[in-house]
Amino acid sequence: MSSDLHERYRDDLSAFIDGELPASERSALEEHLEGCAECRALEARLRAVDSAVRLHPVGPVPNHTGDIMGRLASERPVVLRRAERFRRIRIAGVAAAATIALLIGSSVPWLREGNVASAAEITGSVREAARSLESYQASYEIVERGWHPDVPVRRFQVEVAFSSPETMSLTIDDETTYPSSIWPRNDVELLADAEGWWIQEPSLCPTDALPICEGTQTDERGVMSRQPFDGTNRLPTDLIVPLETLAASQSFTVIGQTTVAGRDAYELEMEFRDALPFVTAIQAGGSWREFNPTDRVRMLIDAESWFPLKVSVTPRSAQRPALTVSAVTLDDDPPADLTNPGVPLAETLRDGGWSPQDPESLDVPAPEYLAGLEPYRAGTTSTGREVLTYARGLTWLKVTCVQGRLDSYPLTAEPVQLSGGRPAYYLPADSDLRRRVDIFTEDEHLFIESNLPREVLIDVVGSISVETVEGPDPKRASVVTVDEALDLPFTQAPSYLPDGYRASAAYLAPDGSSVVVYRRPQIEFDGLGIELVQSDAVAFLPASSLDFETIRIDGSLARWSPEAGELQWIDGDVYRSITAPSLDLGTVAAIAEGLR
Amino acid sequence: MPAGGSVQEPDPRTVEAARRGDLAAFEEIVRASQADVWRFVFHLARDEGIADDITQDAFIKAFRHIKRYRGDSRFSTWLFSIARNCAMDEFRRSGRRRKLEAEMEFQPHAPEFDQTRSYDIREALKALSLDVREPLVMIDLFGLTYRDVSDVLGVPVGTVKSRVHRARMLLAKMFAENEREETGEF
Repeated sequence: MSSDLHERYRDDLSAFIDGELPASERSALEEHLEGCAECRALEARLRAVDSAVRLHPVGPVPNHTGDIMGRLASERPVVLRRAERFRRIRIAGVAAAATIALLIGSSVPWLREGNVASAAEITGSVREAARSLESYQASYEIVERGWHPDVPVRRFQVEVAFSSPETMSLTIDDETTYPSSIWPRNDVELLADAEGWWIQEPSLCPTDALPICEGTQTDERGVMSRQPFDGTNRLPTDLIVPLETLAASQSFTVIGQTTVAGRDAYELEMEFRDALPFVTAIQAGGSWREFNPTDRVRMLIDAESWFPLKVSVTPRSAQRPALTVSAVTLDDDPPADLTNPGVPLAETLRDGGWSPQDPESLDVPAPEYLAGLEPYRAGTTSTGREVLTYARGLTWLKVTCVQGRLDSYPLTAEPVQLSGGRPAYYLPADSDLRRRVDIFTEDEHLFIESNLPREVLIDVVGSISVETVEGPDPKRASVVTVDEALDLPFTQAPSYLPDGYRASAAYLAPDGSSVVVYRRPQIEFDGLGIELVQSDAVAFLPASSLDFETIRIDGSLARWSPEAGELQWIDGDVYRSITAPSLDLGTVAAIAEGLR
Repeated sequence: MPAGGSVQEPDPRTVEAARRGDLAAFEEIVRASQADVWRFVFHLARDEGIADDITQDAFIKAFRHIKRYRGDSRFSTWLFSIARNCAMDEFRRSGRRRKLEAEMEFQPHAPEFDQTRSYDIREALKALSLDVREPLVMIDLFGLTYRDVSDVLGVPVGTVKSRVHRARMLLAKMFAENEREETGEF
């Protein structure tokens, strides 16, 4: 055989492996391979290369769908009625109720049109609606799948009533057929008003062991003389108008416009972590199935009242929603007796220690700009803190003043500047706490909490006419810049962060550990954000009671706690950990691998 | 998409709806293919930030020009061509073009491949010049045919064939050198 022919066969080997050789050339090459050991060896090597390339691990890929669709939507005509003041509407009544249920029942597909309002306009309209709503009554139907292997589907009827600013009732009736009567029914009742807060729900019991939980037991707890807008017994108001879920236009995508019962509605999409305020509102008590932070949530929202009409949560790996919440009736002007059932007097109520006071008698510097809110309850707490509150509709603001004793601000707070360059510290909301700004004077510590948007809250705080000073360094730790925290000999900086995350706070802990917190600036409710901790000269991972999975990061063994959303590993003799409760392991591992 | 899989082709009805201006249909396409486009662009740009920008630009451009897609080629091939054009425009704008053009030259010794490191296919791929890396990535990582690649690159099928073979021969050589290094064999 000529060496030219031999070379030609060699050159054809890749096309042969890819199945791209014509049949005649293929058989000629196969014949050649039988007699040529050198070409057979080369074929084996090329096949090995081919499979190495095909099978090499692929890193995480950012999801740009929201950015792309946002850009496209902003180029298209906007049909939302701009700045139209929320009009009082009543969409209940037997006929309308039946129509809504029929139209948005779970078997009806989402309807779509091309024209959409921008997310920013929807966010603005939702804020206005939340400020204007005085009372509300609605009923919903919930279908939940995958809660327990023996109970594939659960169904609930929900009744909600609200009267601004703090009166609310939520009743969840479990209509599921369980395998036997010992299974606990997920019936929940929550009642609140300006005096108290009370909930009755099934006893907590591990889902895996539910049949042996003797499910007739219920727990009830509550508080009388409660502080206004107390974080530990908050009202699930996002069910009414999803003010907090839709607080940031970056956290959801507008998919399209549709019509429900003759009314305009918008279809929105977001990740589960960004829909937490809504989902935790509907799941205010009882036992529910869990979701992954990146599962898909779709929301159909009325384009005038901004009441959610239908919300579905679909796990990433599934085609069918695992949770569907559908409105059956909605009414924004119900009779007063429906919205104020009163909190029952029960032995389980504890004393919240609130003592109402005339606001004039309190020594709390009040904001001059109130963002349209009106003065509401004022008083003192059992620990002597003085409190002023303001409210309108679903929106509220609370100013708490601690005299003489200067508590430190939370370590993970972001330093911000008020007008005139005055220092303040901003802490985003999470599933337990509301947005908060801390300020300090020479002898006072004020913290201002609210469900107003971040920029409005900072403006309100800026209108408090006090000279603020730098806060005391928190708990022996020293607050540093992000560059300082990542410039220590043992620290590494992340070369990869998921979309939208920026460094927002950094400090050195008493043991010398470097801590940096990353957050999505306008988006909250994803817990802590991302916390990166690095410590020098640590030989072993600290003991912990959490459940772990073991994975490999750049050659080191790392432990991952799904419960805490925490990845920890020892890199040489440096301890590193990434805590990100709202991210999945793949994303956290990618951040870890990107530490340089 | 798993490594080494094929690019997902959108349902022709979805493409048709997107051609009529249906934003929701186009979103389905974006959702299904943005990861493939990003990975493809990343293999060209080797920079995540640039890959982010180019991916977005590519889909915006695709939506604006989707009426011109007549179904003569696979939709993914058409999308990759747009993404590649956007990448080349970006490189031209940012002055990376010269560097990339230099990369287009054949590099027999693949100088960026660090032979002291263990067998690392990602590093090896990076070390390939763009002209051979591009067709190999499209074929091995995205399952495109030689004909598809020839459409995207605008070169004859024979050129695709020889470039893919050259890429694999270079990788085989790198791995052989690396194995000798690791086993101490000379």
